[in-house]
Amino acid sequence: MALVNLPKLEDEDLDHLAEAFVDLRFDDEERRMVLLANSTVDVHAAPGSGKTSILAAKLYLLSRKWTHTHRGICVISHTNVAREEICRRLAATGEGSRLLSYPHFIGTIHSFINRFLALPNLNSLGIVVDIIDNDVFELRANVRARRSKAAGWLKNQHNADKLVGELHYSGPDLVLSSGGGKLPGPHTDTFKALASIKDYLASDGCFRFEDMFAFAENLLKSSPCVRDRLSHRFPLLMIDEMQDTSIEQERLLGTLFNDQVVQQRFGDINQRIFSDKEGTAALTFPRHPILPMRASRRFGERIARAVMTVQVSGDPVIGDGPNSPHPPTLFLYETDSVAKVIEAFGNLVLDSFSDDVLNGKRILAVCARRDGNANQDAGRHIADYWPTFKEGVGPKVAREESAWMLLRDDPNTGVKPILVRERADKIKRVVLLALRQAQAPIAKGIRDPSRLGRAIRETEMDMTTLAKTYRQLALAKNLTSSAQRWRIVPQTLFTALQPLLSAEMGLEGFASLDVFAIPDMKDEARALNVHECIVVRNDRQLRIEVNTIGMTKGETHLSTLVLESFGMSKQFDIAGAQALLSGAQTIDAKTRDTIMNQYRYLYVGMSRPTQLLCLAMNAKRASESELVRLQANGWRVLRVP
Amino acid sequence: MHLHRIKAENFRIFGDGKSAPVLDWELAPSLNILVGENDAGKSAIIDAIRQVLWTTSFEIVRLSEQDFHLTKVDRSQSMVIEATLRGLSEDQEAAALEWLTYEANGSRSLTLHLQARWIAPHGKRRGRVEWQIRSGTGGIGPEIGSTVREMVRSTYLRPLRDAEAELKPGRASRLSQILGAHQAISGQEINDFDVTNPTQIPKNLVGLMALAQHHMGQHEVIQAVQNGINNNYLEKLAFTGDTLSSRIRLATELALTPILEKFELTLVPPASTHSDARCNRGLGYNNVLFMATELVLLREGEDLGLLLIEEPEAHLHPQLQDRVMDLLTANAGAADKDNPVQVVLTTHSPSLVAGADLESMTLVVRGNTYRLAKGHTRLELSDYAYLRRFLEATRANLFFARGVAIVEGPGETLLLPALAKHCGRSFSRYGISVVNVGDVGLYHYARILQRSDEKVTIDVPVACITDRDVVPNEANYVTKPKKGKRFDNDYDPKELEALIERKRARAAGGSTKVFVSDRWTLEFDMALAGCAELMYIAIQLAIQDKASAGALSDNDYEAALADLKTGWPAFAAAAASPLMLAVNIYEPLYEKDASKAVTAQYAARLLETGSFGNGDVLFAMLPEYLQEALTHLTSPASVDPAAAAVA
Repeated sequence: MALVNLPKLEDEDLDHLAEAFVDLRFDDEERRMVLLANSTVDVHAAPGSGKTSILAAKLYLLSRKWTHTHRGICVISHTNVAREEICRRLAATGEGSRLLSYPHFIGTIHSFINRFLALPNLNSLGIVVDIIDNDVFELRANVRARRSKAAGWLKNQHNADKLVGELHYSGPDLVLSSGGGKLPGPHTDTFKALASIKDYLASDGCFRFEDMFAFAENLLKSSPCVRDRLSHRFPLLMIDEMQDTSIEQERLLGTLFNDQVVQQRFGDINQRIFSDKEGTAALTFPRHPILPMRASRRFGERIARAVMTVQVSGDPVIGDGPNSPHPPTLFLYETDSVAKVIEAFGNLVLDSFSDDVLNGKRILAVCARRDGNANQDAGRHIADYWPTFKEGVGPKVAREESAWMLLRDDPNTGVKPILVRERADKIKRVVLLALRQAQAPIAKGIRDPSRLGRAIRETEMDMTTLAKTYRQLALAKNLTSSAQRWRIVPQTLFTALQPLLSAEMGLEGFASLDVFAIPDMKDEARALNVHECIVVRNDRQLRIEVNTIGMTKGETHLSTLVLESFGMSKQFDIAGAQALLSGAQTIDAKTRDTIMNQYRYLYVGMSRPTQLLCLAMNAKRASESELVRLQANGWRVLRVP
Repeated sequence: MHLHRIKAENFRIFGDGKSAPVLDWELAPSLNILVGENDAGKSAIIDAIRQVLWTTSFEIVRLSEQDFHLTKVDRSQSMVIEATLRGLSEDQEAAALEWLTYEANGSRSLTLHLQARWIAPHGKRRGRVEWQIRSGTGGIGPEIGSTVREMVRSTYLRPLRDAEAELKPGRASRLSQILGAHQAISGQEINDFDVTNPTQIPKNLVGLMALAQHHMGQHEVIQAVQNGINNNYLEKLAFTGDTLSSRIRLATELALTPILEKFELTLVPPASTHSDARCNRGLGYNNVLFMATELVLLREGEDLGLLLIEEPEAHLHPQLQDRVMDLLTANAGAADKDNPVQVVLTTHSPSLVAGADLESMTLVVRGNTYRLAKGHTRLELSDYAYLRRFLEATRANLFFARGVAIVEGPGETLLLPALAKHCGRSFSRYGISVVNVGDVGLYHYARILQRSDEKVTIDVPVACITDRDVVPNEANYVTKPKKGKRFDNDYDPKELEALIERKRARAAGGSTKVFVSDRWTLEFDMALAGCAELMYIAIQLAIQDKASAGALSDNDYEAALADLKTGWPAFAAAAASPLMLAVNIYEPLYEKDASKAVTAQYAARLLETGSFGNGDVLFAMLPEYLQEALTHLTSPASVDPAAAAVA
């Protein structure tokens, strides 16, 4: 296959950026080099250096000169946040928006695999996918397992639920495996029973995410030419957040594209914070030729100095953003006052910034760990600081099978514009689940909510009533605020769907379908505000989002509070890094992997804010001498009584 | 890339497989000819393809209420059309990756599945059609975007097209598309005309236009009119500070496309006419020109090279039809070409069919499609080449018939339609063709209408009518052969049965039945059955005809007829038995004193007079095997209102 001519970007093309990306500067040499790079290259970019923006800018420039009608650019991003950011920027420009559709691709590696390999393969095998969701699979598989021939054997397994729940196909030959434990030998009856559970659910269109990778590999094996076709279709591959690519994903990417494809990978090895069990040494990012982007435009020199103390490798980050008048701050709390840390942080933010500055800016409290049960003093994970954080209290509920979970308010409701479409899709799914569970004949064999719509229209039913119901539920807020309020959901749907239900089905029966069940919650209020803390003082109010560091990758905040946590290393992260933060020590290259990983988490968390960086640790674990040194280095230390 | 298969359910004539057949047609990658009577579904197949693939002529292809199949009871509410494309190039596969189907045999295909629903009007809302195109068999894949659908447009030539208008210059004219698609066109958009050196002739098209514009623009007439408009009117209309002036130009824009759109394709006038005169060459030749144009465009293209032609015979005389067929055959599917063109055409022209390869033909009968290629019919492979030569225009009309009588001689060819007509079973009313295969034994070509899959029967009754050829012992004018069997008493009943069975087995099957004469030949058996007088007079007239060298005048005919009628009772009485009478009547034919063809003509003429029986009376006088043959071809008799009236 002939090498395709990629558009050659020249200096004069960069002039167009001034019009399309008014708020960004691309004037320095490092960024210019990255923008003009025309061949395979790795871009190593510091946090806040505008990696995603520059990727979007580059895509915009390429789109202006892109002439192929059936060949496109493939952009792989690891988070939907980054994807949305790229899409938002491109959509704002006329020419750039062309990249959002055929023949181009912008999305996660999972969606790429699904769209180009797994789903075409499954469709060719005659399988219609109903749902790809680990939780749903786990529930359904366990229900079937209890009635299967494997039930007896499973009773004696301590990890039976996980073993069954994580059954997946692996490798090109779709070998049955489980992430939840060891399976019996393939010749045994138990294995065969488990295999038939898996195969049954597959024919029913219910899969785990890993299955898609297996079906992709399966296609690559049965039709090896797919690799050349993909490479032909996408002569240019750009990967954002390359550091988050796992060894399996990198290997798979290698099998998807041949060496004719120009690959430009953007990332920051210092932000690699997933825990890969093996083979991290085989990861190739960054490899030569490398173009660096060292300067962070997010924060100034003051924050950069703090961040670089936990930077594991590479040239130290340069703080090229506006300098902040606010010193980095360490909160010391007592074991008893751990729950007051976030509020104290909120008060500091309110003191430091006027409402004008705060308007629309994000304030976050982040922590490396979601939960854990280490026998240690408070400060182990988010739940220590913010007890309502944990999701899905009570029995485990598959998010995609529960109307309650599906219809909860989007955390962004009222904060920024959100697409109604996502919510509408969820409502349609609830309708399908309800009809299915009510054994309405119309839902028989229907997997895709859009097909349900077609089926309903084919009945004599008046669609306008149903459409109004969809609208009503889509626009309703706080449906999950109380069991009282929740009643409205089955009621509304029952009225709308009654013509499709059997005569015996009454409102009570309908409302008691599994899909409408309220996840068991001791305290209903706990379901509220799991992700945010509102601090009110006098007539001022501040909203602090609470989240894990992993979920906030790539974000920019006005102020960020990094909460101490207890990690796999059997150490507290901030306590363990005191000497680094104070400048007493630098990172020893021989440090254990698990500790290095904690440094990287801190690095990611600490490099979010533009103005005010805060850390929080238990006073018990603070070293007096390091505190003195920290303060000498410009840190402020505050105590939470 | 080529269209491999088209399926349709509840589209027009095609039903859901219960009350009416579904469409499920596999195409050859090269030439495909749809033959069959009117209303059989040929155009519906072409339209199904156009609905799912769109066409390059950018006409509006839209489903309407009438496109939904109408059953006896009511109109279907939903329909499905599915097209499967195979043989995609690497480029095409790469472009359509997310919609491809990976076949079990390792190949890849692209299936477009159109689902449409008719939503009846209710209240203030108008009725409308909702549709969606998804990929994959049964439409289980994702929706297909328009960019990919652009890739799979077909080229459609409508029936009775106005070829001249299609070749006229204008925006997006076909000719401009062909010129624009030529590989040497790039660079022609550069204006290489040098204003400072206006006598230098440029090389590029745009430069040439600039040159013409420059020189013509300076022509005194052009200048005078232009100045007149500007100075006398526009200047006075302009507001202060604005200038308003005009210019007269050949092309408003000096770009390539407007230039290409100015070109017109016409045939060179015949030699007798001045070469610059505008001379219309008639619809036929313009049509040929148009088809040639489309073929060029398809051959240059990168996308789906699918040409749909309805009735290419329009406006063409039979010989030109032959040439067109040759052209299409030569261009379709040629494996040595980079972009083989696939052609699907419908026709009502026996000439066109006669010029085509059976391999490429598909018979369409009441919504059923039957490919006639090797392996699909019960015809032996070795018979195909022979049949190809054999199928000239008159025989090829068997593909358009509702019933076929295959006969072995001119006697049957001429006499059968006359007999059928006077029995109230007119062949033309029933749409029945008579095919004379001439030689004895060739009627097994009727197997072209039998399917290799024995469960499938083409719903076209075929009657092969043949002679038993066993001479009655009483016919002493027939010499006994030295070897072999000839006479009644040469055969025992078992042997006779075997003889008849052999003749049957040669062709019978499906809707084809073989009717073997009851004794000897058609004429003998007629005479033996109830038509002795008719045959006697006809044969005697044929003798006189021969004597007068085929120029029996009307007066002579009337006189001879009167004589024969008078003489008939005595001739009939002289024979010892009806059998002897038939033997006597037949003798002149055997002795070649009279021609069978001429006899048949006279018999037909005699039947016209009505004095030899009509309707069921005549029918009852026919030999049994003819009665059976006519019944097979024309049942149920109630179909024909005229037949019902006679009965």
